[in-house]
Amino acid sequence: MHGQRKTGERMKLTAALLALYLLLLAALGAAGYHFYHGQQQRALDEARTQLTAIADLKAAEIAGWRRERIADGEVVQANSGSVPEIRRLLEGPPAAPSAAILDWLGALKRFHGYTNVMLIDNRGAVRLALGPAAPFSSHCATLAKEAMRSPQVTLTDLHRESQSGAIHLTVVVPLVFPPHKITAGAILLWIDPSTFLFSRIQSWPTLSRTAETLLVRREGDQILYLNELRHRKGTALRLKLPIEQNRGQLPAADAVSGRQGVWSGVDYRGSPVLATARRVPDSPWWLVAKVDADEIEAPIQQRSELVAIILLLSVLAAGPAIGLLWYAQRSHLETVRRESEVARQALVEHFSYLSRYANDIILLEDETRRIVEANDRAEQSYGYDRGELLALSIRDLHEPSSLAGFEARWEAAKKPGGILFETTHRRRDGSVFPVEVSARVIEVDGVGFRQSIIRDITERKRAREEIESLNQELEQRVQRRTAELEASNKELEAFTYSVSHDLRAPLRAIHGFSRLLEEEHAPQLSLKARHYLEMVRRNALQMGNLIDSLLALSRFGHQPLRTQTVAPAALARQAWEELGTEREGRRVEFVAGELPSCTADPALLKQVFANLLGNALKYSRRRQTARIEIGCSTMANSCVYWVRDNGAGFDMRYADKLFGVFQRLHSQAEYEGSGIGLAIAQRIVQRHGGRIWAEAKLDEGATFYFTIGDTVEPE
Amino acid sequence: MSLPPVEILLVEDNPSDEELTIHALRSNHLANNIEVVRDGAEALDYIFHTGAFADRTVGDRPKVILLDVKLPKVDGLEVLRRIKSDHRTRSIPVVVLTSSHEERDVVDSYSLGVNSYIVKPVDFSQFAEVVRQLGLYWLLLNQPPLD
Repeated sequence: MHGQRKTGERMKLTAALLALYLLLLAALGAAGYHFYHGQQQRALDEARTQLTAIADLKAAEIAGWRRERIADGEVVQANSGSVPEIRRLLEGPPAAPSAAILDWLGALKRFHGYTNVMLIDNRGAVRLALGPAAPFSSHCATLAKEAMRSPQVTLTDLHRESQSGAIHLTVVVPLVFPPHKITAGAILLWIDPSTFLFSRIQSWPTLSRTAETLLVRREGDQILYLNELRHRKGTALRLKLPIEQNRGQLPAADAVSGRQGVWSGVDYRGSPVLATARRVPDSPWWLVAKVDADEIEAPIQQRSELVAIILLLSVLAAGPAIGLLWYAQRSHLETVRRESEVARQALVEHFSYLSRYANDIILLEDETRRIVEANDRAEQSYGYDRGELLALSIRDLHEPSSLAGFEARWEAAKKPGGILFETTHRRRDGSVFPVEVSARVIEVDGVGFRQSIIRDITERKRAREEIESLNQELEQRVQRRTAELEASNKELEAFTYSVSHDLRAPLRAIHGFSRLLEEEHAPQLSLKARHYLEMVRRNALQMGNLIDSLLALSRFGHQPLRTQTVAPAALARQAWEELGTEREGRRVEFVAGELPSCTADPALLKQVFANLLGNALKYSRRRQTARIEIGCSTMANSCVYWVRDNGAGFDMRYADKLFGVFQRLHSQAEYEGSGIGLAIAQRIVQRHGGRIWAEAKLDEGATFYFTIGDTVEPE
Repeated sequence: MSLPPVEILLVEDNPSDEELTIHALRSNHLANNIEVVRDGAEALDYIFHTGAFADRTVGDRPKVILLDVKLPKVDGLEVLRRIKSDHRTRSIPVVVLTSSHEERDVVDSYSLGVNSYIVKPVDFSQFAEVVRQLGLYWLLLNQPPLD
């Protein structure tokens, strides 16, 4: 399955690459062609423009030249009118020209470069000639006679001198001597076209291999080439080509037929050319400017060839380059694939190792709910062997009633992170057991599977249930205890209440009746009897005190704490005020230092101060001036309140007895008291999470220290 | 027979306390007209002319009621409440005499409208003094309401 896919993919890839390559080639070809064509067009356009320009230029030049020649002739015409000798020469018997004439005509000849200057009469006889008076060709005479018909100065066409074969054109300057109307004769100015005309024609303004301009004239149904052609010699006034046959091919033929613009043709030597033509105004001449087609194309050809070569080379190079790249990529992919294959293999092994020895059941199910993989534990737990398991659906492992919601849970496993739930599974033997399932959907090669990790939670469930029942039991126990405690507290309250009432009444009676006895039967009583009665009363009173003390201890020990932020200084002061009777008639110094505030029950804290201050006052009674101080010190990062007196003090050896209930370190005779004050103070301080202790020296006073802790008994 | 108007109603269950209280009153010449009832129910019957005292004249009102808190049958505070909630008897001064310092009793008594709350000291001389002062105050000093 794997391999096939890979080969298919590879083939597809190759085909794709090949297609790409071919596409590249095609694109390059198209581009090349387009380039070539473009270049061609451009060259053609350039050539056209050039030809047109050159043709215009040349035609204008030639026309200008002709005009100038005629203009020169007109000057001569104008001048010769005023030279009577000319007339004489023409009309008179042949005579020798005067020097003046010769000078003038000679100057003319020299100045203008005429090959000959002739004076002929109207019959065509030469009267004067500065150049070689060569026999005058009949052709020339005809031309002259023709020209003399009008008084206009004319320029003959090019003609060949029959004897020398040289080509000439002649300016015919007809001479008319008014008042005569007829032409007396003419001055002929012979021009050698090669000095200017032909050179003008034959020159090409730019460097060109094949381009040329040429002059032609129509002669009947033929074209006569007038100048020496570039590519063929001996053509001037000799080469004649038929028009009719060459029309559409020979540029000259089309030219004389009046074709306009720039066109392609085949010239006199059979080469394809691009040509244009102009009629030389005021003349029978046509100017043809042409250039060989392959001269136009040559550079394109060259360039295109070069480009083609480059393209070909690059394409050829690209081929192997791409091939190389592809190969490199493929081998890289191969390597990567091999590596990932190895990794995957390792993973698979690791996974199978894990799943085999895992403590939980690991199952893999496919989309049809069928089990496709199971680990060893699964066999153990369900009692099926592996083969049997792989034939089952996961549904078969469920205890039937737990199948409700199966589909919903299956779907839920597709969520990221999967799903965790509890259900009941069934073994081969039909026994059921509770399980916790962690399921999630995973993808292997694009196919979805569900992986479930199943844990037998029989133990866990049992433990959980046990915990719950224990908790419940605990709850109940706590409730019972609380109730008991509450009952107990209520009992104590009732007890205290009772005590406070019921115990006192008899005491009152004891005391009262013994007093009555003493009062009403005093005479009958001996001193001793009276003493005994006194003792009875005293004890009754003592008992009353003890009861009061016990009640106070109970109250202070059990009444609810109402804590708030308090200022101990204020409470101490209040307690001090209330001890006014104790202070009566005594010299007492009271120094109260800074007491930082704390969190305490104000009434109880006041009681502590009352007890400590009361004691301080009591035990300093024997001093002349009792000095009592209260303050606060910092000891070990906590605030310690203290009450100091300069009274009797006590022996530190018995310090631990100080705070015991009904414990006293002095006799009643020395200092009265029930021995409960400090016990109460301790109880209160303890309820506030603090400590109380004392330091003293016999007969040098005592200091009682206490702290109010942070952890106060809860309200 | 027409009895002289009772000046003091003593509600006390303890015989010793009763004896001592009367002794103290007598020694101060305040004991001429004392009626003693020994439980709460009897107290109510007396005050409201019900039960055993149904034939008492309505106009008969003690000048002061000395009421102990802990009583059999009907509790002292309940008696106090009854006295003070009935418009006929509301104005009779009630002095609660008790051994109890208990805060709760004090608060309850006053909230029920007691006129005075006295704690019976164990010491008899003090007790006698208390009684004398009570007697003097309520019988001689205090102006009873006019009926």
